[in-house]
Amino acid sequence: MMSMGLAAVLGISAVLTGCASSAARPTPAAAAGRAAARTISLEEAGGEPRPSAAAWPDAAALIRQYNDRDLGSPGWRRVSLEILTRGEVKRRFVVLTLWKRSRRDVRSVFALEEPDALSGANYLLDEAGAFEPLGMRVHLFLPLGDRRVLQIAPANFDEGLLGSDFTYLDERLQFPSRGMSYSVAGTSVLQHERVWVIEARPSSAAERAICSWATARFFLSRRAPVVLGADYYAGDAGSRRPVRRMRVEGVRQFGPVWMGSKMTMSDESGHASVLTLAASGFHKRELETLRFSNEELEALSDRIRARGARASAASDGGIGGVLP
Amino acid sequence: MGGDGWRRGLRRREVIRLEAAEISSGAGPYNMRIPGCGFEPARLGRAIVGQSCRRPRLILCAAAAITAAAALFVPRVTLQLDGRSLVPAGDPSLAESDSASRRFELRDTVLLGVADEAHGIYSPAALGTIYRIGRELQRTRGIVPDSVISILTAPRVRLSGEVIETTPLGGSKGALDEAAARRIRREAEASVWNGMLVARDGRAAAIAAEVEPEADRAALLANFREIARRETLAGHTVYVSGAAAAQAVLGNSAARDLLRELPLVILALGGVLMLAFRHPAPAIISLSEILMSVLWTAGLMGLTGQSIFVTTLVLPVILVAVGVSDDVYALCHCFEGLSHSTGPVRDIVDKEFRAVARPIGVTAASTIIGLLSMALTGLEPLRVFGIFGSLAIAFSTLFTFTLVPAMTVLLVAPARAAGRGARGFLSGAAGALTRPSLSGPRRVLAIGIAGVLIAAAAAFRITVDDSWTKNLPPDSDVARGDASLNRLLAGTTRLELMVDSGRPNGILEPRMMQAASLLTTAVSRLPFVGAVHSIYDSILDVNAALHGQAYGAFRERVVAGAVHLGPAALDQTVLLISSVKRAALRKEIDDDRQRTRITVFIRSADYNRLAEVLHTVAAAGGGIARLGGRIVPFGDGWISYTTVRLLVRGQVWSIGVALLTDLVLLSLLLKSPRLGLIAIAPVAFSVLIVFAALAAARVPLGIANSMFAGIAIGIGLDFSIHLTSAYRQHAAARLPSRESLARAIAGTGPAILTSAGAIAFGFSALCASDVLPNVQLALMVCLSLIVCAVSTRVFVPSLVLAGRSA
Repeated sequence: MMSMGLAAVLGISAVLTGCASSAARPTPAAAAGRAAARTISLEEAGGEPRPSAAAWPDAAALIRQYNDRDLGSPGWRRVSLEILTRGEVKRRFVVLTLWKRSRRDVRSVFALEEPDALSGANYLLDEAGAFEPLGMRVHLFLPLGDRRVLQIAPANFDEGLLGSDFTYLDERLQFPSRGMSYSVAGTSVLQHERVWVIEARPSSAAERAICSWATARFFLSRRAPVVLGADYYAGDAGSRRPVRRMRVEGVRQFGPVWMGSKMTMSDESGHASVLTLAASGFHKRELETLRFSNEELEALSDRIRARGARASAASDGGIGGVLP
Repeated sequence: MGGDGWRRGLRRREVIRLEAAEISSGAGPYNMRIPGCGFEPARLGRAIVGQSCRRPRLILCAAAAITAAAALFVPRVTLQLDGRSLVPAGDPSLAESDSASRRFELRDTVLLGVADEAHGIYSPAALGTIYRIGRELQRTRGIVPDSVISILTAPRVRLSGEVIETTPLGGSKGALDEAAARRIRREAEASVWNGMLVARDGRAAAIAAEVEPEADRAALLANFREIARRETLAGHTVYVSGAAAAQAVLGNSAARDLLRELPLVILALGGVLMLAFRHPAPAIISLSEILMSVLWTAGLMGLTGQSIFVTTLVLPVILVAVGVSDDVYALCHCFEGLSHSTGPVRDIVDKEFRAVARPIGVTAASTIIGLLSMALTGLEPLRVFGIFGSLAIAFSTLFTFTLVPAMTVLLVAPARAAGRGARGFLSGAAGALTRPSLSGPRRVLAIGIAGVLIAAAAAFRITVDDSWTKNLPPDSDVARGDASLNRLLAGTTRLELMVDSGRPNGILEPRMMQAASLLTTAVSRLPFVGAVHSIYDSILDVNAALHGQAYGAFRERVVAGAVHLGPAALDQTVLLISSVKRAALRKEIDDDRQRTRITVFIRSADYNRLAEVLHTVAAAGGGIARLGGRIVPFGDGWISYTTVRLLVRGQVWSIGVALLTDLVLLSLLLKSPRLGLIAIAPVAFSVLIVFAALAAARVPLGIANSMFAGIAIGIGLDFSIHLTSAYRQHAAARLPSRESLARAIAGTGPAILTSAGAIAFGFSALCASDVLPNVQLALMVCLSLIVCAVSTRVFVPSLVLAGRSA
C-alpha cells in the first residue's frame, strides 16, 4: 500500500543540503560553496577505470561515508514541488525547508508557503534518532481546527508528502543506519556519471511493513556524496520494472556540499513529481536559534502565515520573517 | 385456375426448365449489366461454374490449400471479455467516460462475499474467513494487490493520542477473538464502510479486488472458485461475483457452447439435408463448403488482428446454419436436373448451377445486406459479426459456384435420381399453404393486416436490457452469488459519476461540497441504491477522527450545521488524507482537486434502474451545474446503460436500413417497386412477430439475441426473392397472374421449405447452450424463419393477386 522511497531520500537530501545561499548573512563556508558551484560533466566523469568486484568497497562504508558528508547544516532551501499526471502539472507547492544536524540526530522542518490555503502547514522530520523503526519520527501541524501537532504513524512513512510521489522516507538526508541491509550490487553509469549501485532491503518485519517495495537500488556517485537516482522494486531488483523511479536531472557542487537541483520521482501509473530548487542557504548560524521541535511547529506556522507566502517567495527568496 | 386445378395443370418439370432457360439466356428479370463497362456479373459467375465443373479436382485442391493456410491464422483470433470493448474505442458516447476511467484508474472488479445469515459475520470464525480470502486474493496473480479491500483491511484514519495513523479497520495485528470481533463490529458500524463492505445488518461482508486488465480471467475464476469452495467447506457461505468473474464464466460457457454446438449443428443440418435429398452428397457438399468458408473468415479475422466477443462467440455456429441456404437452392435445382436429364453429369451440373447463378447472387446480396446492417448498431461485437459474417456469406457464395458444383460432379453421379420422394412431399406441403391465398387473397390479406396491427401493438412493449450477469447460465455459481450479494449487500453494479468543478481546487469549495451532498442524498434515497460514496465521506471520516467522534454522528452534525468546514479546512483535510493514504485518495479526487468521483452501488441493476439513477442525478445535480460544474457518468453501470442505448438506436437503424436497401435492390432487379415491397413484406412481418413474441414473453432484447434481426432479414428474404422472381419470370412470359403464381410456388416451394427447415433445425442446436441469450437467439431465428417461410407462401400470393385485381 505504501510506497517508501529511500532513494529519493538521497536525491532530495542532496537538494536539501546543497543549496547555494542567497538571503541571510553569508558564512565563509557558504560563500565558498557558492563560488565553487558547478555542474558535473560527462568528460569529468570519464576516464576512471571500472573496478573489479573484488575491489568494490564495503556497502556499510559507503553508507557511512555518505551519511557523514557535509550537509551544510544548519541550512535552508526553498523548492517548488510540482505534481504531474501524464506530463501535465496538476498541482504546485512551494516548500521552505530548514534543517540542522546535532550530535544526536538530524532534524528538518518542511513548511508550506504555497498554495495559500495550505500555508502554515508544516512537518518535522527527525532522523537518525534512537527511534524505531528506521530511527525516524514525523510530526505534522495543520493550522485548521484544534491546531494540534500530530505524529505520523510509522506505518505511513511510505506515504506521499503533500500527496506527491516523494514520501517521508524520501525526505531523509541520510540513509537509515538501522532497519535496512545494504550491499553493493555493482557499478554503473547514470546521468553520465559513474555510480555505485547499492541495493537496500528492509531487514525486519517492522520495516517491511512500512516499505511498499521489497528492494531498492540507489545509484551513488563514485566521485561525490550524491545519489543520482533510485529504482524501487516490488520483488527482487531487476526482476520486473521498478514500481517507482527517482532521477536527479541536475547536480551541483557548492564547496563541500553536493546537491541535485532538479529531481523527478515517477511511478508506473503515469504520475510524477518534480522538485526544483529555487533558493537555498547553508551553514546559516541564525538557524541555530530554532529548536526544531514539534512544539515549535505552531509558532513557525504562524510566522509563515503572517509573513505571507507570496511575499516570501517574491521578495528576496530568503527566510526573512521565518526566524523568531 | 382455382382449388386443386392449378396443381393438376402444372407440369413442374416444364416450369423448372422454363426458369432455367430464361435465366441462362439472360432474358429473365435478374438480367443486370454494369453501366459503362459492359461487364455482366452473371456472365462471370457462369464462367466460374463452367471452370469448376470442368476441373473439379483442381478446385477442390485449391480450396483445401487456401483453407489450410487460413487455418494457420485462426489461433490469432483473440477473445475479448472486457466490458468496455463492447463499444468501439473513440465512440463519442464514451469518450468522456473513458477519460474519467483513466483519470481514476478504474479497473474491472471481482467481489467475494462471505455470508452468515443466521449469526452474522462479526464472529471470529467469519472474520477469519474474510481475512484468509483477502490474503489469498492479494497473492493471486492478476489481482492488483493493493486494491484488495474488506472490512478488515479498509483504511481508517484514526487518532490515537497524538498519533495519526491509517490502520486497517480490523486492526494491524492480534488474534481475531471474541473481543476483537466485538471491537470490529463497533468500529465498522460507525465507519464510512458500513453498508458498502459489510451489510448494515451484519449478515454479509464483501472482499473486493481490482483485476489487472491483461489478467487471465478464466484462471482467476478458477482461483476464486477454489477459494470459495475451501472456505465454504470451512463453514461459511462464500459467493463469487463482479464483472471480471461474470466475464470469465460467460467466456467459458460460450467457448464450451462453441465446442458442443458446432458438431450438433453440423449433425442437425446434415440430417435435414439427407432427409430432404435422400442422398448423403448434398449434406457432405454443403457442410464442407460452409466449414471452409467459416475457416476462411476466421483466418481473415486472425490475419487482421480482429477479436471475437463473448456475446458473438457462437458466430461459427450461426454461419454454418445460415450458409446452407444458398446451397439448398442450388442443389435442389441440380438434383432436379439430374433426376430428369440424361447426358454427362458435368454438363447437367454446369447447366443447373448456371441457371441459379442470378437468384442465388441476389439472395446472397440480401443476406450480406442483412448481416452488414448489424454494423450500424455502433456496438463492436455486432460490427465484427456483421462485417465478418457477411464476408463468410460472400465466401460461401463463391464456394456455391465453385466448390459445390465441383464436389457435385465428383460425388453425385452414381445416384442422380434419388430424393424425389421428400421433395414431392415438400412440394405438396408448400401447395397446401398457398391454397387459401390463391382462392381468397383479400380474406387472407385482411387476416394478415389484423396480425400486423396486433403484433405492432405488442412489439411496442418490448424492453431492452443487457448485463454480464444476466447473460450467465442461471445455475452458475457466479449468477447465484451475484443474486445473493445483491440481496445482502449494497449492490454489485457500480455507476461512477465524475463531478468536474471546472476549475482547480473547485471540488474543495464548500458550496460544491454542499451541492454534491444534495446529489448523493437524492441518489441514496432511491430504494435500489445500496450505498453512495464520495470524497466528502472521506473528508468527514477524517474530521470525525480528528474530533474523536464516530463518522455517522459527525456527519449528522455537519448536515445539521453544528460543524462548519471552511475551504481551508477542506483543503487541509485532503492534505492530511494525502499524507496518510495517498494511493486511495487518487482514486477519489484528481491531483488538481478539480474533479472527484462519486460511486453509486445499485442492487440488481438493469437498464431501468440505471436510467432512474441517471435521471435523479440530472435532477439533483442542478446545484453543481449552477456552480459551473458538470457531471460525467462512467464505469460499468454507464457502459451497460450506453450499450443498451446504442443497441436500441442501432436496431432501429439497422432494421430500417436493411429493409430499405433490400427494397431498392429488389425493386431494381424485379423492375417493379410494388413487387419489391411484396417481397420485403414477409420478412418485415416475421421480425415484427418476433418482437411481439419477445414483448409477450417479457424477454428483453440484448446484444446477443438482437442479432436475430440481421440474420432473419438476411435469410428470410431469400424465400420471397425466389418466389417473386419466379413469378416475375412467368408473368414476363405472358402467363396469367394466378397461373404464374401457381407455377412459381410449385417451383420454389420445396427449396424454401427445405431451406427454412434446415436452418431452423440447425439453429435449434443453440438451444443446448448454457448462455441464455444464445438460446433466445436460436428460438427467435427459428420463429422468424418459420413465420417468414409461411408468410411468404401465404401473403406474397395474396398481395400479388389483391394488387392485380385492384
